[in-house]
Amino acid sequence: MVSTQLKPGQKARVLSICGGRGIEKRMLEMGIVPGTEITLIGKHPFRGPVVFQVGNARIAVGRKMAESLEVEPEEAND
Amino acid sequence: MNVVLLGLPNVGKSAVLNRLTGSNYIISNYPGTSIEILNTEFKIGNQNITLFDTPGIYSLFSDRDEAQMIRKFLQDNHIDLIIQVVDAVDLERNLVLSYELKDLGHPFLVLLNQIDRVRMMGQAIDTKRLSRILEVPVLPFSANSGEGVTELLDVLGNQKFFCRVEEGGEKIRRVYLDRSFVCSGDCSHCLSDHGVCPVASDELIRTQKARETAMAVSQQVHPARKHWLDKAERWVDQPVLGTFLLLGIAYLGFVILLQFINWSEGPLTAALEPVGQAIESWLLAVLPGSYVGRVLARAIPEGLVIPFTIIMPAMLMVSFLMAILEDTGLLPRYSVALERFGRLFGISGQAIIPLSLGFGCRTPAVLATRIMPNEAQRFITVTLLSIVIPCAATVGIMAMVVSAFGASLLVLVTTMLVTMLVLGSILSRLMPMEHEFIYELPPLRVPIGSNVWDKIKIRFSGFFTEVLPLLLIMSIIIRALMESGFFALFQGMESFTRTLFGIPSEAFIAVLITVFQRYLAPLVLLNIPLTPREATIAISMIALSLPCLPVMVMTIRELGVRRLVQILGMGFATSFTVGVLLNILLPV
Ligand SMILES: Nc1nc2c(ncn2[C@@H]2O[C@H](COP(=O)(O)OP(=O)(O)OP(=O)(O)O)[C@@H](O)[C@H]2O)c(=O)[nH]1
Ligand SMILES: [Mg+2]
Repeated sequence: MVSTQLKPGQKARVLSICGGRGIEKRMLEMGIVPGTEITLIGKHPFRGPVVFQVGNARIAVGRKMAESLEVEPEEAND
Repeated sequence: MNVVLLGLPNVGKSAVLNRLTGSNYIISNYPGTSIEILNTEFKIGNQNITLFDTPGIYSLFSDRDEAQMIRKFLQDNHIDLIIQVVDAVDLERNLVLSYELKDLGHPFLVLLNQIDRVRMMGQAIDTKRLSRILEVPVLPFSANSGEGVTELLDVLGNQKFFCRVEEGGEKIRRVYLDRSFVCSGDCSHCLSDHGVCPVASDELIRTQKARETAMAVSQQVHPARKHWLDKAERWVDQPVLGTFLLLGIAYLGFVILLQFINWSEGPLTAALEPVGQAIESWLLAVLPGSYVGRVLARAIPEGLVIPFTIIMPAMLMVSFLMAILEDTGLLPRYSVALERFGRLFGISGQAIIPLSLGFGCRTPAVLATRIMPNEAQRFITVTLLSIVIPCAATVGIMAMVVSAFGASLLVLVTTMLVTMLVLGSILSRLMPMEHEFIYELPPLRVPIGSNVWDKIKIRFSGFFTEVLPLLLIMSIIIRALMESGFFALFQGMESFTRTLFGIPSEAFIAVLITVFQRYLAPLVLLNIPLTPREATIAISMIALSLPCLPVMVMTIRELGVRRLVQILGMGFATSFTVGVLLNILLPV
């Protein structure tokens, strides 16, 4: 599913980034690559940015960019 | 010996440099504080070391300007050692750069900065193991507490980093800054032909290695200590609630600023009065009866009052508030919260940082527009800075005009906001540019007193070196012109300025003075009788006008003459349009 469909607090693993080489590269620089575990912190209303927790860092990603992030939610077992 | 500090943004490179050399480089809690490569000399024993501070980069091979600048710097200079400053709390992401440096084959060592925070979080990093894996020295460090300084100085002083283990021909692969490869062909992850190693997979491999290494060397030793900042962060980072919190804080800052100016004006004026009188009577005694004496005796005390009673408190308070926003980590959160809103008007959320820095002084703010993602956005931001944003000195003197004539603060502030949005929309229509927003949010921190104080000092120093002398000179010139009847020459323009802008000709001259320096212009207003309506229009025209000279110089340096000319043209157009519109809209 697309990362913006995650609920706040939900964890997921990145499957792929499909927004072209430029976007892929900027995500990679921020430490978001296939396999990275991310947690959605919040989605700003009116298609505003989405904030993810990546490791111990918080990264705000523009909505369009976040939509290019395909993720697989982790089983909520807590 | 040339030593370079490299690292991701906001890991504490400048803080490390300040700690080692006692310098006063600006440290702030947001990515993108340092924008230039700066160097400081210092000595360990009799070893001279030149230490370079650099802007933060995520990857050496990034297309971003900072990375290009650093690549060029590393190629053009002889560098003895690279110190990678690492945010130890965020090891995995930082280690990607370590692996890049390793592939580069340049001597480097890893400084695990912010180790104090790692402990706070109940974690431990096995530095020995990390050092073995990376084959470079790894030192725990804290720029805040000074932990690790002795060890680092020891390593630097005795050049211990040169004893890098390179077992017989093991080193088989090197990446160069221009991204070419040298490869003996038998390295595990480079099975394809030389030079055709796809860079992308190369990057992924480094990310993979960084993840494995981070996992291997860090562990949770006891539960994280609960800190109220974590809770605060949860609140502030909630989209809706957080946005309201941030807006509330901004409003509070604005109120504090105005209250502070109001509150300090009385005592300061009272303290200055005897000084002014002493100067006045002294001047009249020394230069009795002359034109010069008359002018100076009035102009100098007047020229002291405004800078000391209004501008000084304004600059102090603005510097303080800015330092708090910067050091807590709230500033970049405004970028995120206002991204959507700014987008409507073609202004990127990232513009918030340079625009708010402009309230301190616009010259360094123009430099800070380098964090904008592209040239178009950069030009829009510099234009808004130049035309709309008032620096601390201007804020002070505008507040003075508003209270002196009972001008409308509401009209002034609204006009400025509307102008900013309209200008932004027009500019972004003219140069539309798809851009993607991605920005790292720093952790919230409690500002360090000494750091806040240093920044206030840096930003306030301009008061004595620039603002005070300029205002004194300007005050003398205005007085001289008034006494000589110079302003009367412009009576002919009266009907023109009255019909167009609804202001007297002298007030229009004040508007023109913004060509030199915006905060000098309102000074003229204070010397002429104005109705509240006239004052409101005149001060709005001044508030939305031209960049000052230092900003112009910086704009030429950063964007070129052509851009500056465009900005100046827009500045005049904006100022006049605002005058005409307010004259039409405001009730007489
Ligand atoms: N707790 C803690 N905070 C630190 C330490 N070192 C730096 N900081 C904080 O980290 C933030 C960033 O510090 P800077 O020195 O501006 O970071 P930088 O790497 O120069 O950042 P850029 O110039 O933006 O790339 C500041 O708020 C510092 O107070 C440390 O050892 N411990
Ligand atoms: Mg810095």
